Amino acid sequence: MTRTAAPPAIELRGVSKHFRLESGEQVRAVDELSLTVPAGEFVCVLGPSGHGKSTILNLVAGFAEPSEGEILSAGKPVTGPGPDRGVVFQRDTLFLWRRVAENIAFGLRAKGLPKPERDEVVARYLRIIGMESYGRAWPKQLSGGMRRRVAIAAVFANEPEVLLMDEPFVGLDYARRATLHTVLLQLWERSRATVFFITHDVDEALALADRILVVVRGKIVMEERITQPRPRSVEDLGTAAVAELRTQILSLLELGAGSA
Amino acid sequence: MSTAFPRSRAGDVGPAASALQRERRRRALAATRAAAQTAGLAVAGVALIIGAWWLISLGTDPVRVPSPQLVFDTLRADWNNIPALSFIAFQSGGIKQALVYTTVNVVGGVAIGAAAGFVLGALLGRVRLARELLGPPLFVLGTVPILVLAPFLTIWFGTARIVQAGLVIAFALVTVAAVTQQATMDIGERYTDYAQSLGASPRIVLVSIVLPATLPPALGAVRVATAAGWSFATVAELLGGNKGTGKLIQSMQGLSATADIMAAVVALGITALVIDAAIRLIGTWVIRWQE
Ligand SMILES: Nc1ncnc2c1ncn2[C@@H]1O[C@H](COP(=O)(O)OP(=O)(O)OP(=O)(O)O)[C@@H](O)[C@H]1O
Ligand SMILES: [Mg+2]
Repeated sequence: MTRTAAPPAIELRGVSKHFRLESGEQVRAVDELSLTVPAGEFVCVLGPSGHGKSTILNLVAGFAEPSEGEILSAGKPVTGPGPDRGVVFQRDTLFLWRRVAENIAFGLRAKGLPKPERDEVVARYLRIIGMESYGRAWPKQLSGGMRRRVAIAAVFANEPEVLLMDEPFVGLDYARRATLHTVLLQLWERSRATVFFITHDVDEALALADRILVVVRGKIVMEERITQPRPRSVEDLGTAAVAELRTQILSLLELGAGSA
Repeated sequence: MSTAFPRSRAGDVGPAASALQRERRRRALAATRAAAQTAGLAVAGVALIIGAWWLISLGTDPVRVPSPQLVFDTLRADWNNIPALSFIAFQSGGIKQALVYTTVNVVGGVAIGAAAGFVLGALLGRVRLARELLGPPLFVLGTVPILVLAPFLTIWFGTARIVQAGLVIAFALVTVAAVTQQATMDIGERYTDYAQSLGASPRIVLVSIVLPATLPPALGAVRVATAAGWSFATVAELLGGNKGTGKLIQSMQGLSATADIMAAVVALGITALVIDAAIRLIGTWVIRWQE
């Protein structure tokens, strides 16, 4: 394996983020966390509720500044949000006043891509997410799962180098999730983007990730590489080793949850 | 027959789209039915009132309560010209000319005031400095009744149109600005964060997010401002004008021409209804994306 000289897609160096609550109490949402994510890696982040996962994502996205430490994206310090780091939020952020196609084209327009090329990209992504006939629909006419697909397509169409996803599939049924996993993996394989994916679902992480991180109290308490090829079938994930890993992660989550 | 399912025609984009079309047709049908029902009730209500009016007028002196028929005849006869008018007030023509004058003041005044109010509201909502600088004085101004403006406008501008339209402009500005500011602040960082992470510049954020997201409440405020605008415009004419429906009503009161007063009021009411319906129609189309 040859190591390229390219800088990692995401790098956190001793990053902390403190919040002061109304009670005057200080919360260490992220606690001296260091992390390196090489370009193209699919990282899944698990952790109990309220233990800093979204805060890490917001810092990398540039929506907030760290209290201490340094965050680099492709070797450059993060100073604010930018089109190199796409974000899929837990609650969808589709622009209700724009049709589906215009939602997908939003970033491309901001970039100044001419309309014929925009239309081409939009048509391609509509096909990938299986919604060819919905280009002219309004978001209000879509189901929850369709909205998620459009949100993902909108971010992918912008071709970010880094994709930050905060529990993007929460609240969807099993079949929709499976479809979206397939769509996500397809898009990821084509774009070779780096993915930082937050989830509460251990099985989702096991199915998707190159690497799983468990965050408790703002620190990474466990890190596990998964090497099985994708797509991973139920059998792939049924091995004793995976079961062992799952148990280990679940116990960490339970321990952490007890000390929120 | 080879198949029970007809092959899709060219331009037909599959089952999902046709479901969408069916849904749209179903909704259009339901909307038409609801509209017909509403219209029917409205007609019945109007008939009821005219009937009651007619009954009352039967036993009353026409100077006190003229009959619907008399008012309608007066409206037709005095539509284009009321000779007496040019002696008392300073305007010429009839009910139509007075109505046009007032309507232009209301519609034009609301348009100007609402546009300025929208910009001001968005500015106050988006820019902290503007909010902290202009917020407190605007709040104080907001507590002063708008009618207080009238004498000042008269002193500054005499009987020019701006005096009558001024109150309408001021009210539309204040109403739309307040609503737009609140709506702008309610957008939430979610949308702007998202847009920025897609590479949107501040200008794009303003045009593509702030504007459309605040449009629905702002349009509501425009309707309110227009409804109130009729009162402000006519009252301003009474206070210091020499034209318009308000002035006409005042002049006709001097002549005890009750039928003319009622004719003017009816004409004004119908105009207001039509304009409100137009705003609502435009509004429904503009915010057709809303859930
Ligand atoms: N803007 C903020 N102001 C104050 N405290 C905050 C803010 N954002 C997050 N926190 C605090 O930081 C801690 C971590 O929150 P965070 O949202 O990162 O958790 P999370 O791991 O994403 O949880 P969940 O799984 O429930 O989404 C929490 O204690 C939360 O109260
Ligand atoms: Mg979270």
